[in-house]
Amino acid sequence: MGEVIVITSGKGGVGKTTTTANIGVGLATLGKKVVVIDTDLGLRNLDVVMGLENRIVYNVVDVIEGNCRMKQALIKDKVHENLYLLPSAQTKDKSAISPEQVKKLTEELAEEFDYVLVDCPAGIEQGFQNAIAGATRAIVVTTPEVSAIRDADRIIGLLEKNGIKNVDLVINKIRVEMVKRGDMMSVEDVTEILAINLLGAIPDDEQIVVATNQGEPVIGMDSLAGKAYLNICKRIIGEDVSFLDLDAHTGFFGKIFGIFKSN
Amino acid sequence: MSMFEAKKTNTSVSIAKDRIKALLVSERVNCTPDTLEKIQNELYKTISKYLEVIPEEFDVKMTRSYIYIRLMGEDS
Repeated sequence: MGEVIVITSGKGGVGKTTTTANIGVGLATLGKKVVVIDTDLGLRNLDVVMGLENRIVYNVVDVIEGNCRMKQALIKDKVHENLYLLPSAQTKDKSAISPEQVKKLTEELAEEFDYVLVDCPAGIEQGFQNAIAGATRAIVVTTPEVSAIRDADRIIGLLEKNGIKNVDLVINKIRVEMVKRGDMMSVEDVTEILAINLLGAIPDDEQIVVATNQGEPVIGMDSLAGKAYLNICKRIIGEDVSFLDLDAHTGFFGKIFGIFKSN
Repeated sequence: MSMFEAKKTNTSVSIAKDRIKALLVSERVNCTPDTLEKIQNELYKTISKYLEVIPEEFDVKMTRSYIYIRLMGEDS
């Protein structure tokens, strides 16, 4: 029986979809059988980030409505044999599916896959309720900004209220130079405020834009963000990996001061 | 040390942290920072009736599910 993990944030634009795609690829690289589901009805995105947008025939609503079998809707990744995408429906809205239906769907997928990753839409309305319905574990993505942290805190509260106790944090878009200047909250600042387990921190890496342009994951590229995502995947499967030094490019003095200092 | 401290408190991060902390206090337990301060004061008065507490080290922190009271020394 696989694990159903929802990737959520509250606020839009913090990198949920990029995180879902890269964790999917990372877990597949580590030999796990993975399916990623896009539950953002009407605003389909995960397919484009993964470069699979031209292969969509059926979508998640088709499966739920019984227009096709599950196998017909699952799209195999270009590179990874054991990674599949269940795309969202572009022409439907949030009310086309219910939390009960999503729960049933993810339970069915969890019988066949090691990991079922659910990419949650922004907001706390029905799309959120749909996405978390079948999850036993959650990854909250945030950035070091007041607005994103506030929304993340709200989401963590809602996840707790919905009985999801295993909630981890990913802090995205860290800019080391700004942290050092005192103009961006550090990983420790954010972790201290939100007070949940840190799964990993992703630097604001130009390679992510390059990768997304090409519809490829950053995880296969030689980049700090790619390494950070792979470490997150290792922690998800239970490996004890030490945290990356996001300051690896700034040399000796940068390393001495480090970005993980508090305050 | 004092030079560094002074520099730190003027950064935009310290402003951001103060703002987010105040926001979360009021949103998590539905109480304003003002109310928290009153709670803090009354808890201090009550506790100091029975225990020896140093005002500067006394601190009340609220999370989503708990209220932490620090009497002295290190953080909880």
